[in-house]
Amino acid sequence: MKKLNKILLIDDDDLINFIHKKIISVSGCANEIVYVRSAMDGIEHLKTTDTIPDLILLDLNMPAIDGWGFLEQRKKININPSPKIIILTTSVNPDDRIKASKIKEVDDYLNKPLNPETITEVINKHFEHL
Amino acid sequence: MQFNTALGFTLAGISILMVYFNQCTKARICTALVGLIGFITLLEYLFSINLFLDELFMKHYITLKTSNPGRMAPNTALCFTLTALSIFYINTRSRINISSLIGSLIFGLGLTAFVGYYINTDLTYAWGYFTQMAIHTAFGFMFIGIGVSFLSWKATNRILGQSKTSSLLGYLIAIPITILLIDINSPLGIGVGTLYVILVLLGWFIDLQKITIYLALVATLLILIGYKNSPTGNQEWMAIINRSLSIISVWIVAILLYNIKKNSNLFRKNTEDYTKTLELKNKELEQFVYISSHDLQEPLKVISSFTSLLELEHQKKLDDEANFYIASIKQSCTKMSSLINGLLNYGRIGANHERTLVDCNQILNDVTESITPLIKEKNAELIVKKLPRLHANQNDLFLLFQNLITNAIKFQAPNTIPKIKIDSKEELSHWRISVEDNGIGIEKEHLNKIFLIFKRLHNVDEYEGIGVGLAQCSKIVEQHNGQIWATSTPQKGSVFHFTLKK
Repeated sequence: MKKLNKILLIDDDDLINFIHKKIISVSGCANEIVYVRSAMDGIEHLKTTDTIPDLILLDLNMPAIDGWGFLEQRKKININPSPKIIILTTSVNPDDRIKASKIKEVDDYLNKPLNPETITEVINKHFEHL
Repeated sequence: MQFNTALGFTLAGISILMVYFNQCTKARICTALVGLIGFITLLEYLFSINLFLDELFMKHYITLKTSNPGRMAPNTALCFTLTALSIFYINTRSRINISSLIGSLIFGLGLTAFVGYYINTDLTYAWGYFTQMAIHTAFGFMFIGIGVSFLSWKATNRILGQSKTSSLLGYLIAIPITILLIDINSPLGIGVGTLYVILVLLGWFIDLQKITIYLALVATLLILIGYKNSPTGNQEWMAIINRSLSIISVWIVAILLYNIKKNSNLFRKNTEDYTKTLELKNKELEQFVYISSHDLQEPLKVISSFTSLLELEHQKKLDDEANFYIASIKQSCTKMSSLINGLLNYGRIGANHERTLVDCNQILNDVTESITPLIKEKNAELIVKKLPRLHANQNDLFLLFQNLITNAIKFQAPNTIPKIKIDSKEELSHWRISVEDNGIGIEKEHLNKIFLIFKRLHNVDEYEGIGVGLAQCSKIVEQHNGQIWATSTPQKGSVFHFTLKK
């Protein structure tokens, strides 16, 4: 079983963050799960944290700066090693999926709600070296 | 020109002016007099009687070529009768523009008579042995004909589906005949053929797409007839060149017009189709929003009811974590319910189009009353300047002010006393109303986003709400043909401006 060091959740909804944290804990695929409630807090976290997350689960629809805005801001800062970014959204609009596929920083696109199988699958797919 | 003719022209001119200035009664009286002069004279001709109209106003002095002293020509009398008819029918809303049709006939009679003088053919202005139409009378009728045609086009412009074709009949007959007459009487057909271009140009006003081509065919035929019948002398080659050039110019114009017409018809059809699709889609969307949000409420109510039951009957048996889950479900149900209601209300705006004279000062009083608890809680200070009275939907305007003022009170930094200034300014066609606050302000890059539905700039626990208030405002203002926008300095405050049509 692959285990990541740290996962960062970015979502404005506290209940959703709670659920996702719970599910990832249950699946047991990360040592540390952190969540922030806005895109800017996410950027701030990346800038200041000691342990850079291996994976970011990013919500699209958020107040003020949305998920797309986060991706824009992400490009402006230099983090090494670069965390993988997976969009995790309620949006069923195919346009969003297409838009996401065109952004090279985005590694995958998932729909909410998250479940233990999906998160394990995704980690297996994107972290082969582990 | 006889005295009665001059009198008829004067009266006809006055009645056209009266129609133009919407003086219906005066126009009718003048028109009736014109008609009477024309019609009585016509009767005199028809039954060979003397009704003593000819010298009623003035002793005759023209004796040359008159049927009866002082009597106008029969064609003049006919033209006056037609003039009266066409002015009477000027506002008639039928499929055929009668007035304009008669107008074109008057022009035709005038034109042929006028040209008769030019080419020395009395056939066109003198009918039999009766009085002849004078050259200036003919000229006058051309003017009256065009005048009446245009006036009736103007008056009936908005009638959909009315074909202009019939109203051009007079021109379509008179113009080719006149040109042919000129042609036959001019040597070598010099340039006359190009006059047929006018005939082709008339095709522009006719709905039939290929009409210009047909008219060009007629013109070509007439040019050839002209060649047969006009004096060519011994310079036949010159006549041939002249006529060929005429035919070429007629066809160039005809084909050009045909193409322009085709394109503009295509464009019009596309636009019509597009508008229809758009209207349909819009309606579908409105229904979709209404039905779906309505139906969504049902299962949501069930979820929330069962959650309440679970809480009520099993709360004590469950541990803290389970109770937290139940509370979370209830919280989400409430949120979803308010989102759906927001969507429903947003969809309903504009469903009621009723407009009355609304006093914004009164509306503001009502709004203040409705949010008194909020104002008291936040110690908010409202400064309201004099506001206008305007035609609008009362409920919509109430919602507009309520949303803006509530926002102004809500989006405040902690521990500040909200100070809200509402002012109005008169502009050319609109009233501009502004709601100014000393709140937290909005970053410049978000100023456009704030009017979108469900768009929020803050997390729910910072500033509560679901993001429909400003979307509602925007829709209301749009429904009233106005605009809404905001200016802001972050941390200092925002000003929301909107315009409403007077």
